[in-house]
Formats: sequence, C-alpha cells, structure tokens
Amino acid sequence: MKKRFSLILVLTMLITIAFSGCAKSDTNTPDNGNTNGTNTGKDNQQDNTDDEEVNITFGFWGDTKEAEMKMQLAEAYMDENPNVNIEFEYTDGGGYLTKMQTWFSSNTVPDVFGVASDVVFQFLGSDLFEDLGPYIERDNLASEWNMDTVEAVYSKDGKIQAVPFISKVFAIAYNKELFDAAGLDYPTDDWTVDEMIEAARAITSGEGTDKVYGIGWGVRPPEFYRNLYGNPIYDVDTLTMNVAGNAEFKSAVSLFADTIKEGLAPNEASGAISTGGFETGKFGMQLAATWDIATYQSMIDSFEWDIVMLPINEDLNQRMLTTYRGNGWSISANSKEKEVSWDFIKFMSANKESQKAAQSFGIPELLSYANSDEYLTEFSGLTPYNKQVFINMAEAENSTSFYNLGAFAEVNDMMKTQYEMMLEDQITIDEMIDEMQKQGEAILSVN
Amino acid sequence: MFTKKKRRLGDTSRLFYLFISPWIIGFLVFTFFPMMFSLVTSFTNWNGLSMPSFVGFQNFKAILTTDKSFRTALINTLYFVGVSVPLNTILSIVLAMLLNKKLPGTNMFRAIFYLPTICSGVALYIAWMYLFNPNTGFLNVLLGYIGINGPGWLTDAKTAMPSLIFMEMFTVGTSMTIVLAGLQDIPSSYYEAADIDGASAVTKFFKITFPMLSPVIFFNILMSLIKGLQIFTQPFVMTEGGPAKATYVYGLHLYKMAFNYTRFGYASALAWVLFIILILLSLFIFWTSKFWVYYREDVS
Repeated sequence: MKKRFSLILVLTMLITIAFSGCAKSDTNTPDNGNTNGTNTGKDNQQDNTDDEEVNITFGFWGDTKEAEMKMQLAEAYMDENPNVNIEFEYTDGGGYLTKMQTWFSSNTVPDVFGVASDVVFQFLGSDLFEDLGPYIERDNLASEWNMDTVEAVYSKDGKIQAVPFISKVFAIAYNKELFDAAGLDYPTDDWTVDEMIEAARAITSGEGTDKVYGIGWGVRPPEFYRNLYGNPIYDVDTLTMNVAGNAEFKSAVSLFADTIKEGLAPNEASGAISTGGFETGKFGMQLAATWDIATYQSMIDSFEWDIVMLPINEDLNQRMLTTYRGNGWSISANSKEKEVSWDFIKFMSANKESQKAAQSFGIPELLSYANSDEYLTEFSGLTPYNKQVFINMAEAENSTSFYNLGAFAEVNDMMKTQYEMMLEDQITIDEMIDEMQKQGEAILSVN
Repeated sequence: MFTKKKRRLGDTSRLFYLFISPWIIGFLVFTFFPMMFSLVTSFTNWNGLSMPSFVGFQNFKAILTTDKSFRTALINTLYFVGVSVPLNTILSIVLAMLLNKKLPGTNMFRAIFYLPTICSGVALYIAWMYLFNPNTGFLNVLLGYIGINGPGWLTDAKTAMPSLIFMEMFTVGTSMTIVLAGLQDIPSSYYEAADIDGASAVTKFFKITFPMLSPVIFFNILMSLIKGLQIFTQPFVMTEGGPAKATYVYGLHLYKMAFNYTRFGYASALAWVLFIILILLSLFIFWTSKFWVYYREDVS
C-alpha cells in the first residue's frame, strides 16, 4: 500500500514537472507552428461585438508618472470600450528587460507590450511578435508615423514588429537664475562646446554640500561617448571595434572626464547620486532627457528654466549627438485577441488625445500632432519649454541609436569600467583606449 | 489484533505522505527542477530564445581561466563577506548583551534595533542612496557641521564597498534577536558561581557567555555567510557594481551575464560555481565548529 502510494505520488510529481517543462520548451522552439507572421490583419479579425467580454493583458514599464499615464490611457480605452478589460502587467524600467525575457522564455507574453529600441533589436525577427505591417496597411496608417523610423528601429525582414509611441532624446536644460547670477547670456541652438564649458566654469561655485555645479551629466557619459561626434566606437553590423585612433571618441571622453575632474560636474556614472539633480537648483545645466521634463514641470517652482540643443564642437565641426530611444507597442504572436490589441495600440499611438497625454515623457510619434502648432504651444497649465529643441535633436543628423543588450551591453559595461578607472586616475586615457579596443575585440569575437 | 495494528500504521504513513506532499511537490517543481534545468543549461550556449547548443565544460573552463570579471566579482564578494560577517557578528553580540540588561526602555531599544531588518529592501537602499549623497546627503551634511569634508561614499571606488558594509551593519536585527534569545537561555546560576569564585566580567564572558552562545553564533555566522555570498540587491540598486567595479559582486556578474548579455548557459555555470563555493565554505565552517562550538549535551 505504502509502495503504491509512493509510486502514485512520484508519478504525479513527474507529470507536473514534465508539463511545466513542456510549456517552457514550446516557446523556445523556433518552428513551433506559429504562422502568425504571415497572417494578415483581416485573417485575425475577430467578431468583437459590444456585448462580448474581451480580456487582454498589457505589459509596460515607467517611473511612477509614466506608468500612471499609461494606465490612464488603458482606462480611457476601457471607458470607450466597456466590453474590453485590460489587465496590467507593470514593471519598473530597471526590471522590464528581465520581465520581457521571462515572458518570452515562459510563453506568457502579454497581448500588448511595450518595447524599447535599445533592447528590442535582439528579439526582432523572432516569431514572438505579430507582424503589424498588414494591420497598418489595412487601416491606412502609414502616413500617421515616420515609417523610415519604423523600418529602421522596429522592423526586420520586411515585418513590422512594433509601432511607435513616443521617442526619447536628450538636450541641455539650463537654470536661468544661475545664468543670470553668473552674468551669462542664455544659450542658443548654435552655441559651442567651448561656450558650454565656459558657462559651466562661471556658474560652478561653493564647496561640499553648498556646491553649485556648472553642469550635470548624470549617468549618461558611457551612453554618450560611444558616438558623441559621429564616429561610433563599434560597428553594429560588422561587430568590429573602433576605439583606437578614434579622435572623436577621445574628444568625447575628454569632455566628460575633464569637466568632472575640474569639478564642474559631479561623477555620477555609476548612478550613486542620481537621486536629485537639476530640479534641486544646484546645477547650472543638465544633460536632460525628454522624460525628465515631467519631473521638472512638477517639482521646479523656485527658478525658471528652459532647454537648448546640444552644442557644436567647432574643432570637429560636429554637433554633439543625442542617443535616440524609441518606445513602441507590439502584439504577442500568440495573442488570442489580436484585433482588440491592435485597436488598443491604435488608441495609444494614432490618437491625438493619447499622444497629448504622453508628450511629457517623449516626443509624440503621431506626425499630425507632433507637427502641429497645438503641440508646440500647448502646455496644459504646466511650465512651458522650447519643445522644438527635442524635435530638432530627434532629427537623423543629430541623433544616434543606442544598443544595450547582448554583446553590445557587455562591451558597454566593459568600457564603462575602464572609463571609471580613468576617472579614478588608475589608468591614463591612452591606456583606457588600448584596453577598450583589446577587450572589446575579445568580447565581439566570441559573439 | 496484529492485522488491526498494521492497518493503523498504514493509515499513519498515508497521512504522513499526504501532509508532506505539498512541500515535496513544491520542492521538486520550484527548486529541484529549476536546479536540474540550470545544471543542464550550464553545459550549453543558450541566449534564452534560441535552441541551446551543447558545449560541454566550455563555460566552466572559461569561468576559471579567462573571465576577469569572475575574479573581480569573487574577490569583491569575499571582501564583503570577510569584513561584514565578523563585524556584524560582533555587533549583534554587543547589542544583544546591552539589550539583555534589565533597564527602563530596553524593549523600546530592542524594537528600534530590529526595525531596519523589517524595512530592508529596495526602498531602504534608495533611502540610503539619499543618505550617502556626497553633496546633499544627511551623512555629509552632518559631517559638514563638525568641519569634516565627508567622503564620496558610493561615488568613490575606495569607499563604495565599505559604504555597503557600513549600511549592512544596520540590518543585524535578526542576528541580534537570536543572540538575545541565546543569552536569556544561559542559567544565572553559572554567573552566580563565577561571582563566588571572584571571576571578572571578561573571564565570565569568555568562560561562560561565549561558550554557551557558541551554537547560536555558529548559526548566525553560517546564515550570514550564505546571505553575504549571495549579495545582489544592494549593488544592483545603488551602484550597478561601480565605480570601476569596486562593488561588482558575484550575484551581479551572474545577473548581467544572464539578462543583459543574454548568456544564460554561462550564467547557469556561474550559479553552479557559486553553489560549490558555498558548499565548500559551509563545510569549512562546520569543520572549524568542533574547535569552538560547545553544546550542553557534549558537556553532560
């Protein structure tokens, strides 16, 4: 009896394990019978009447404010479509990549989920994503978004795997009060790197906890020095390093390192004091992202501020490039509610009111709204700023893509370590460059 | 009569298996199966999406021979464990002895010292980031009042790891409580006898308190060692392993390999190497215990 019971128990456990194993392996089989990539939107069209209850899952990330905005969009969609229930799968920005990988490997991808251009490139071409090309064509939406960007950032082998929502770029935010106090004119879009450094020098004052910094780079130098002046440190297609002998790179690293070593900017590369920056009023200028604007608007009331384009390096005859991060929406290839999911995506990315709600976090991707006077002049009672600056920075000649997953993440991290060692005076800038080239080649050669 | 007894025993064993089955199923599904999956994965090259390809011991060979970050991460982790475990063990004993005194407000202080343990987690580490901020953080503001220009804390490679160790000292609440329980278990007659013999406070500590507490201290050291070797959240949230890899610990290396560099096979191999290191260190601690841990039943 005891033996029989034990046998049943063990068998039950084995079956449980076997089934959990099956679920996992299903996802990881490249040819698991998924033909969604060739389906047209019409093929998947479902007969969702107002009476039919539909449940979809929605995966997204963001800080508190951005997450709130996305949830409000979903709630507005549910108000318009009472038969649709959207279940949230929220993760903070830091954990979203891990969450996404877990979804992919466990076959639990939400019906609609957010993707970011700096990591999604690794997954494009897999059968995890629904091809959205047929949907865009069917609904005549190609003119609503910049399809060149869609092609470059979210497509592979002719399949569109996400549609854009907002794009995120950087500019320089400046504190007008500190500029006035230093007797400086406000910067204009044709300013130079030398003028920026001189301004930082004039503004920097005080010591210890009273110190006012001329400029704050935040955690961004390792992201920006890769291709600050148009000569990238590695080629993403050929997987070759281009650090040794790269004058643009050396100039970029020197800019960040010299301003930090001179005390014009704090060293925040490892994120240790990224809590509290420009909004504290202790920075004359700040390398600011589109998503910082919501924080500035809500927290700054003791001084005036605005943004200006990144400056021009006269020696290299090149404006500093901003990294470009696109945020888009995808549909799981295994979704059972593709039509509703598509409708929800359209609501977020092809609807003026939704794009208006998202504008504090990035540049709206809906062209008819982003190019309108309404977008440029409307601030809904919040602090106004020069929106045209971000639009200009997002132009192809002023921006560069950022890749931060797989081998590229490994190279980026290695370079960041070397950069920090150089900042700590453990190695010279030339030693850093040699080591970056050597270690980078080693990493890329095994990938 | 005999048959009835046999059936009763049978019933008991059925109940035993019935009651233990949720744990066994949970263990097999959530621990044993993932461990075996990870073991198999450690012999493969797998990016988390494509089909894994078998590479034999290549991952383990690379870890032990060419991976510089593995060495850095291991040294940093051992540094953290080597300093924080003895420090926190001593601190927990000192605090427990102070809180064992029958003075007014003792219970309040017990609660205060235990409180950070309850609050630990990402929220606490973010709060510490504010405290460590060299410009506006409370610690440097405080030091500034007495004319000291505070250190860079997490922003300086020399002080980043000591800062994490310093922060860890505030989470000794659990160890302290266990030591406190151990202290209260020591019969007062031992101290009375020592008093009659004219023993000093130091003698009483080393001849009575420490030997009687040694099983508790042994337990605390072992638990702290395991917890310390698995340190991850603090550097992940607060420093990302920097500056200049000063806080780049083993758990972070493993995480980055898996989720940032999409080398899940290699990360699994790293996990197994850590597991082996943990087992070896635990066995070593167990071996040393015969020289300094005393159990009452041994004495009797």
